[in-house]
Amino acid sequence: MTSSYCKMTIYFFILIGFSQPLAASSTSPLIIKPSVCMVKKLGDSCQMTVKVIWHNEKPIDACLFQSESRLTCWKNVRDINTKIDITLNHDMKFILKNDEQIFAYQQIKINTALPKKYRRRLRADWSFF
Amino acid sequence: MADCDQISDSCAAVGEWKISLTVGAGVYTNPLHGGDNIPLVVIPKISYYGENLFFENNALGYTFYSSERIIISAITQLNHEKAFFTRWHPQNIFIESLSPGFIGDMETSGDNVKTKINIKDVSNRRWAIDAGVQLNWFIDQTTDIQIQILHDINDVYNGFNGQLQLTNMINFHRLPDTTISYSLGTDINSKSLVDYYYGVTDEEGLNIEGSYQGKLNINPYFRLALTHNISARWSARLHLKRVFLDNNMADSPLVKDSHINTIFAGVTYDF
Repeated sequence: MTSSYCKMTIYFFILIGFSQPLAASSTSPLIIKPSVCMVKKLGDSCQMTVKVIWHNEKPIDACLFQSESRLTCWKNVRDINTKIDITLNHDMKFILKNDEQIFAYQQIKINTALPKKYRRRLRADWSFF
Repeated sequence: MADCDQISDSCAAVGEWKISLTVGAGVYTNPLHGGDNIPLVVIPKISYYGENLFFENNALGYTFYSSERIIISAITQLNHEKAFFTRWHPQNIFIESLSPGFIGDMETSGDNVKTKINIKDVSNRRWAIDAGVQLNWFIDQTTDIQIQILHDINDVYNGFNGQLQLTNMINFHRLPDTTISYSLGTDINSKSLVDYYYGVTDEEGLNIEGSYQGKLNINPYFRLALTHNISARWSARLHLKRVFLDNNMADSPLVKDSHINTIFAGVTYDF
């Protein structure tokens, strides 16, 4: 009795172990490189060329959206490996989807090249007292 | 040196407001006859540093010269002398003051006889707003000198006051969250300031012995502040200061003590 439970437990873990890589291999995450755009100061608009990479087991029709606006579309595609120009002025989500489903997405962030500026305090702490 | 690479107690992020609230127990002693000691219980602090403009509690400034070690700013701030003539409530929570109600009493010290005059029996002193120049000299990362020369701008005492202060900060390797800062300095008040606030006219003094004419005074002081950061937003602090009053002020019949003490212990929350 005990040994059959052990066997079932082993089969269960083997099944889980195999099922995960199989699922992962069917669809890759959306890769957009670089994922960070540097600007001189916060609020500046950022323009850059990014590489978009994505893979799916089955061919699909899909479009890449920058937030709500459509950038480009593909028909009957399994592998996406292309370069596109993007413009953004704040952190934005890039989504690969069609009318039926969202396949993948990635956030592109904006960072300022200049870090936050600091200056010396000019008054002694508690100078009033 | 005058710029900062990162945030610390001696640096401020440009373009950001900083608000903190300190709660604790302490007192700012009042050296005048009949004056209330000023209780220190809740102390808000607001500061803003822009590229040139800055605001820190009671002072507004504009930096018009900045180099590696020297910063020169135009500043305006509230003059605190009037605080000693103001009734503070709740009165005397921590330290009892002299009971009021005497006019022209005499006190003897050795061979000298000094008339005592209560602040309630002299004419009302006004709040003054000062404006002038402040120079900060950052000698190294932990030591700086501050010089101020100010004049009142609302026609209260029509005179000057100045301050010279050396501050040094000590950090401990074994206690990275604890900082001690101490200052040695002096306040300098012109004759007209001392005369306006601490002088007593013949009418006020009721007789010729009670009258007092102020003279330029130089009041040295030392200050010690101990800060321990408990977390990112909470810190504990101990603040001590003693101002030694020059005879030119201490001899006024309004003045009972020859020093002003600030003692405070509490916790600060940074918003």
